[in-house]
Formats: sequence, C-alpha cells, structure tokens
Amino acid sequence: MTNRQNPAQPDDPAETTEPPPTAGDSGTTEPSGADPTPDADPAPAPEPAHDPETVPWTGRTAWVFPGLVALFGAVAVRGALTIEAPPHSPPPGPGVVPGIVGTLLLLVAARMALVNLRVARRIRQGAQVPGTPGVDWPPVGIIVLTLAVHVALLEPLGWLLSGALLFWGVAYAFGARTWVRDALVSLSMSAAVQVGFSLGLGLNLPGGVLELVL
Amino acid sequence: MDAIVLLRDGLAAALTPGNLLWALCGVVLGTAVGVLPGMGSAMAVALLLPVTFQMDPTSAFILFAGVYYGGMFGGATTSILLNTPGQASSIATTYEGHRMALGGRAPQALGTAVIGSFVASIVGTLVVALFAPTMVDFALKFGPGEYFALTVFSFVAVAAVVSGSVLRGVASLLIGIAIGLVGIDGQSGAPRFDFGSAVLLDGIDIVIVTVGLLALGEVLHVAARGRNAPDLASIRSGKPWLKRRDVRRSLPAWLRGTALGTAFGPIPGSGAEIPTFLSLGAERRFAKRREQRGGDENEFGNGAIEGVAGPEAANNGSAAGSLVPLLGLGLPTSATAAIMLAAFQQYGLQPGPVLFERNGDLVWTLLASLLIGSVLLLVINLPFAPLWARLLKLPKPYLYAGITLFSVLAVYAINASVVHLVMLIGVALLAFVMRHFGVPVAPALIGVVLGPIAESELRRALAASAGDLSILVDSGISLTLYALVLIAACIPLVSRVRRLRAERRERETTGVGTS
Amino acid sequence: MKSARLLKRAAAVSAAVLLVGAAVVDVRQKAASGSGPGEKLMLIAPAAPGGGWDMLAREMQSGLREEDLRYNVEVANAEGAGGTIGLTQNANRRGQDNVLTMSGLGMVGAVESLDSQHTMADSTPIAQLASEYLTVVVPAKSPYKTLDDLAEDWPGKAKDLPVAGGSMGGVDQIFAARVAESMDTPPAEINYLPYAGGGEVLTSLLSGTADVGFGTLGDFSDQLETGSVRALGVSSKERLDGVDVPTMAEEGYDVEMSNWRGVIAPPGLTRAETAKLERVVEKLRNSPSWADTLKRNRWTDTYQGRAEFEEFLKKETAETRKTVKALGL
Repeated sequence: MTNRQNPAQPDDPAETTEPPPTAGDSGTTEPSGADPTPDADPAPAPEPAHDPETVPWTGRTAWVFPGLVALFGAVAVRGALTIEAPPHSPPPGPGVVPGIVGTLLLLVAARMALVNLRVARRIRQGAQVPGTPGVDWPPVGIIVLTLAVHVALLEPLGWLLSGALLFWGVAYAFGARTWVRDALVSLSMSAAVQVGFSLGLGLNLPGGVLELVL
Repeated sequence: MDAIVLLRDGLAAALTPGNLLWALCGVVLGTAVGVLPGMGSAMAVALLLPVTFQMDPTSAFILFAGVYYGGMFGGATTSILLNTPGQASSIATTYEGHRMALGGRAPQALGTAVIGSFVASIVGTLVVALFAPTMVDFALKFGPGEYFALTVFSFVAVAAVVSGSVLRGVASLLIGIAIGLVGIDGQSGAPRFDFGSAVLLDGIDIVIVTVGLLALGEVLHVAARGRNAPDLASIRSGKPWLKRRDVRRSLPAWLRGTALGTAFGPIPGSGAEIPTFLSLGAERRFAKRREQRGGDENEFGNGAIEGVAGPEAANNGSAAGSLVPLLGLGLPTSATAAIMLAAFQQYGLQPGPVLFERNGDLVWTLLASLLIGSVLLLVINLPFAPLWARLLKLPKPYLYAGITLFSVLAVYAINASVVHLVMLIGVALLAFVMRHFGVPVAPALIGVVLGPIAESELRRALAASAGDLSILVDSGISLTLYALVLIAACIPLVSRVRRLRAERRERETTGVGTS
Repeated sequence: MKSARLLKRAAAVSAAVLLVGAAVVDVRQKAASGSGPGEKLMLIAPAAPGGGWDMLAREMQSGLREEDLRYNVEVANAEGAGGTIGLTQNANRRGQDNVLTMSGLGMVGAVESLDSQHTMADSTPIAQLASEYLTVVVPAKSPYKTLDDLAEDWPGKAKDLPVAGGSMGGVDQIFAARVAESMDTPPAEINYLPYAGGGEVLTSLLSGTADVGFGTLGDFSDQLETGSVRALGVSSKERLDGVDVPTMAEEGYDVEMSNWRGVIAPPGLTRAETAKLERVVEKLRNSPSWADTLKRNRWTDTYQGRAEFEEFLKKETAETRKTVKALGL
C-alpha cells in the first residue's frame, strides 16, 4: 500500500512489503530474485528453459505491467472509498470486496516492483538474464487500427463491407499481399457469416448503407 | 432397475431414422459453431432455439443434444489447434493440447478429446439417469457458506495448475476479479465502477472477456512475435490415429476426468472450470509419480496426452452432471443450461422434483437423446479429427483474420452493441500486454467467472447470519474444502523446500556453483 | 495441369460470387419494408435468450407467423440493467412504427431504482398481454403456517429473518416490500437476499439459507405440489383456478399485485401508427395460438388495450416509485 506508483527509491519497499496473503500461498515458486542465493540462469530445474511465464522483466518496459496492476489497484481502492452503499444494506457493503481486491493488487504491484529492482541489481552485477522478446509493432498496430475502423464503420457501412475490411486488414497485417485473392477471400468470408448467421440462424447483422443502395 | 427399462423405452422412442438425421445435423452444426472462437455450445443452442419451435419435442431434444456436445467438442478443437479456447471450460485443455499440436500430434489430441468426451457423456448421463434424486439432495446441502468455500477452493486449484510464477498468477487472478466487480452490485443494488456509463451497469459480459483474453489476445500476441511465432502450417503430423500407447495412457485419465466432472457438475454454480483444472492438476501429478516409479516418461510440458484426455472428459462429465440441478430443481447452472431450460419449457416440460413422474416419457427421451448425441459425436468426429487438424494448413493470414472476424461477430451477437466491441478491443489489448510479459491469462478469466460468485455468496452468507462469521465454517462440506485448500497450498511449499535442499546437497558434492 | 488450376480458380471465384450474392439477397430481404403481412416488425426483448421477456417475444414471433399476421418478425435481445437498456433502445427509435418492446413491472421497478435516463414516459404504451401472480412461500418445516404467523414475528426480527427473492429492485423485491408494509415491517429493514432467478430462491429455501421466499407462483408450483414448500398467500384479487391457496386480501393483508407483461412502442408515433400496432397485437391476442401460449406458459390473460394500459401504467409507476423509495433503493 505504500507504493501506489512505481517506487523510485530502490531500497525503500524492501522491508515494508510482504507477499500477498492470497488463497493460502505466499509467493513460493516465484522465479527470480526471491531466492537468497539466485542461480545466474533463472530457469528453475523442472521448467523448460525460457518459459515465458518465468522470464524476468528487464529494462524500462519492466515497469509496464507492475504499473498496470497498480493502476487497477488504485482504481479499485478509490472505488471502494467512493461507492455509495444504499442505506440499510447489510453489513459487508458493496465497497468491501473492491477494497480488499484493490489492496491486494497494490501489494502485488509493489512486490513485482521489488522483483524488478532485484533483477536490475543482478544485471548491474553482470549476470546474464534472458529478457522479454521484442514486439513487432507494425502488425499489432495495423490489427488494432483495423479493429477500431471496423467498430466505427460497422453500423454505417453494414456487416458485409466492414467485415470484409476487417478480414482483409488482419490478413494484411499477417503478411497477405495477393491483392485479388485477398479481396475475394475477405468478401466471401464476410458474406459467409452473413449467410450462415443472418439468413440461416436469424442473427441481426447491420445492413448499413447497402440497405439504402439495394 | 426401473430406470434402465425406462431408459430403454426412451431409446426406442428416440431411435428413428428421422431423429438420427436431426442428431447428425445437430452434431455437425454444433461442432461448426463451437469451432468458431467465442461461440461455445451456449451460443449454438441459443441460435438454434427458434429453429426448433416447429419440431416435435423428441426431435428437438435430439438436435439440442447434438448441438450441445458438438459445441463442446468444437471448443476443444480450437483450444488444441490454435491455442484459442472458445470458453472458460476448455482452457485447461489448451495447456497440453496445443503443445501436442505443435509437436505434430494434433490428430491424436483431438482423438483423445473426442473419446474422452464420449466416455464422460455416456457415464455422466447414465449416472444422472440413475442417481438424479440423490444428487439433488446433495446439491441442496450447499448454502452460501459452502459455495464460498468452493470458490476459494477453485481459485487455489487453478493457481496450483497454472503457476509458472505464483506472483504473476495471483496478479492475473486479481485483475480478473477486479474486472468482475464492474456493474450493479447484486447484493445492494449499488452501481460500481460504471464510470457513468449505462452499458457498464451490467458489467463486462463474459463473452467479451473470453473472446478478448483468449482469442483476440492470441491473435495480437502471434502478430507481435512476427517470425518468432511457431509456424503452424509447417508442422508435420505423423500418423493420424491413436496408438495403443496413447489409448493406454488416456484411459485412466478419461475415467478420472469423468469422475471429477460428474461429481462437480451437479453442484449449482460450480461450472466446468473447477473439475477441468482439477483433472489437469491430478494428471500432472500422476504422471510425475509414474515417472518416479520408473514407468512411462512424464511428458507434461511437452504435450502429454493425459493432459487433454482428463480435462476433456471432466468437461463433458460436468455438462452431464449439470443436468441434475437443471432437471431436478429447474436451476440452470450455466449459460447453455439456461437456454436449454427455456427450450424445455417450450415443450411443456417443467423441470422440477415431479418432472420424472409428470413428464417421464419426455425426460427419458431427453436422456436417451443425450446418449445418442454422444455416440454420434464419436462416430462423426473421430474420423474427422485428422481433417480438423488440417485447419492448421490454412494460410496464416487467413487463419488469424478468420479468428478476428468471428471474435467480433461473437461479441456483436450478444446485444448488437458497438460499445461491446469497444470493450472487446480494450480487453484484447490488456490480454496482449499480459501475454507479452508472460502473465498467464487463464487465472484472469477464472477470476471474472468465479469472482462475482465468491463475492455474492460471501456477502449472502454474512447477510443471512446477520454478520456472524461462523456460518462460513459451520458445515462438514466447508471444512473439508478448506482442509483441501490447506493441503493444496502446502504441497508446493514442501516440494520447493525439498528441491532447494536437494540442490544445495548437489552443489556441496560437486563443489561447483553455476554462475 | 494448367487447365486444372484454371478450373479450380474459376470454381473458387464462382463460389465467392455465389456467397456474396446470397449475402446481398439477405441484406435486401432484411431491409424490405412491404406492407400487410410482409411488413417488417421488430420485437425488442430486454432480456437474454431464455429470459422472461425473451420468452414473450419469441411467443409473439411464432404466434404472429402462425396466424399469418406478420411473416418478417425479428427478435432483438437487448439485455441489461433490469430492462432499462431495452427501454433506452426503444426510446432511441423515436418515430419508428415497426418496433414493439417487451415491458413489464420489472422494467418499471428498474427505471425507479436505477434512476434510468429514459422512463416509461419515453414510450408509447400499446397493450398489456399477460400476468403472473406472486406468492409468499416457506419451507415445509417452517413454523409459519399462515400469514398471521409471519406477521407476528416479522416486525420484531426483520434483521434476523433472511428472506429470498429475485434481483434487487425487481418484481419480487417490490412484492416483498409491499407484504412487509402490510405487516407493519419497514421495507428498508428487511433482510432481503437477492438471487438471480426463481430456481435459486427455491434452493435457498430448501437448503435452509432463507426462511421465507417471494416469487412468481410458477417458480414454486412443482414444489408446492410435492409439499416441500408451502404457500402462505397469493397476490391475486380472487382465488386462482387450480391453486389451493388463499389470496392475501382474504387473510386480511391488502396486497394485490401481479407481475404483468405488456408491449410498448417507441415514442413519437402518430395516432394512426399506434392504432395499427394495437390492432396487430389485439388480433394476436384473440387467436387460438395465443390461447395455447397462455396455457403453456401458465400466464393469466390480463389483456388491456392501449387506453386502459396507459392509465394502468401511470398508476403502477406511481405506486412502484413509492415502494422503491420505502426500500431505500
């Protein structure tokens, strides 16, 4: 709770934070940094090497996820303090569980920060630590953009066209460059959904501009 | 053995060529819809419900049974092949299933899933047919205190299975519970975390979370890895059939999974998540022990067939078990069951304690339909398993574009609301961040599903007892569950201490550190 | 070889053209707005598939088709917030004369308890269709044999007597509040455990969590038959056929209410448009297939035409507002 945001002072949280007392376990198989005598290669014995779920976070991006957890925690705690319980509602009011969850989230964030600091210290001492793999941003960006465009155009343009656009956009992000075939496949997939789910099963799909044109 | 005679009569009534044709349609349609991300059997049944209004009850039930089981198998298919489970109940299958697919053993994984589903459905349905009244009595022993214990138990069961890192697992679970807090608080009626939006009053729909976390998150993750992502199309699969060794190793897993599923299914609200994860955990432990004893090698982590056979059997066993509260109490325990309940009522079949006396013929026909449905599922999908595995041969751009298209469709189909699609993008981005930083997403989904149940049962218990905390531990069921939680929490602790000791000993004997 | 590839390509292209063609036909059909029985009608069900209003909508859809009144009927689910999401969608379709939204007491209650942005005034009432009556039940082994027994106990130990019913602000809670008021128990003080549905209320009673249950008669009918629960009173005006339970009024408690369901249309319709919608609903109500629907769902026919329904709705809104206020929601 002392660390609402990413703690800047390296030594401060070391004593105040305890592993979260959730569900009876207490951070036992935590991968790295928790060991008093860490091995240089942080892959523990029974796990396959470089299991993404145990690779420690390094560099500046290491703070992204702890920050996110802290944000969730802060919102939950803030909600817990501001939710208005209707009068006469029985004892554990609507704010209690958000308060507990929020506090635990903040504790987890603090703990993660601590792990990060330990990893950083070990790197400074010259240990070899496998980092998180890089992100190939262009395809991710294209997909998110396509999704946003699809959402914006779904109702004005209708499912048939915006669905085809979505399919094509994602396929493009994954490297499809055979223009004619891509367009044909995109339209057919979108049409297949329209036929299968709207004509066949009676789901409402927006017709959009096509309703006016046809 | 009255029940067996009645069941035989039911089978006789249901087994006509026309009905078999409906069952066939149901299985094929159910599988087809279930394969699409985000569209589990619930969606398939909901979409088909209006179609069946014109049919006679027997045919309609048979169609439903086919769709239901087909949908569940379809969900397993995507979990195994693409690592994109369509619903929470097939998450447990992905762990070993997808690794099997990456290792070129997709047909075997699908095969063991089909047979496991078949075994569990048959056994589960028979158990329901024979012991429903007893099971109803047991389900009625669950008050809010017991439910809360059950949810705590399942949180631990899930954490024990997915913990590459306990800290990240807990973070994921908490994020899920936090997402589940959004919306009107059921116990007091107070709006929470709605940020002033009417759409958020009902919370974030489970379909949005499932599709966003599992399907779209995976699409983004694969896109981000670029050329580092495994190339599914280049995987060479070997012989498509199950070898004798596969069957030998699957068999005990099928039976254990069936037992777990059938045991948890009747408990209202427990869902299929608990038995599937329990089964995965149990199989993992059994395999480890078997290897220590000098038996077959432990393949967990590299695609162990038991890790598919067990959870899939548990999934179907629990689906059959959930018929108990549905038929015996009129209490739907899942989205699919809720829709089936509506369907039953359409045919004048009013579930409840007198159902078996009043609508006896219909009930036995329904149970017989479920048996026929599961047989047909086996007959149709076992030969098709290698064919489904060819889904992986599709060009990658089209494959992932298709997943995206159907994800969006599944979410739009909930309420025809564009706002839901915006939420979907948000959840997908969250899932992407989690995946990128090696945070497991499964606990988050479990948190979203079970968090609200845990909260409302806890508060309900305290409200009913006027704030007396002893209600949480005043029954044998609760105490047993908490005892199991303690044991489950202790096992990793003990094994860790042992491992550390062994490592230290090793280091002392060799005298060499690894740095 | 080359011709085989060409053939394959041609087949693929023609398949695509066929698919797109079929889709275009579908879009066009959905948009079609003919007149008479071919005219499009949209039924908004403010519930998930399988929910109460969804059942009503699906029954209307199949009834309209069977009676050749309308073929092109579409059910749109708009689940959420006690029905107010559906109400908002209805309000947003201002001026559209081919939309009917399922409504009922639950929606009126949700509007009041959630302070919804749109109220019943943002709609055109068309007709009330059916009702279900409510009942107070206790488990078989409960010490309460009559409403008087309950009335004696309740005021003194409202906080310690857990009662179960449907969701907060819903019909069951409104009913519970009115029963409590008639027994001189302040509604705000009752220990009300909300559940998602009738089946769960029942389990709560049978597992001993709650002592008294409030709900629709249909929720408990089977258990009443087997005797595992006992009904203390029914909220109808007169005794119901085939239900051997006294009305609440008979026992001296002035609670008369029903979980009614009806249909409303978007606001801003002309008199002629409204009358046309009312005519369709009335024709459906008088049809044999509707009689069958009522019987199958155990609904009581409480049909009210537009004028009558509008008055009724006003009265219900005012009364519900009072109850919701008394509940402190």
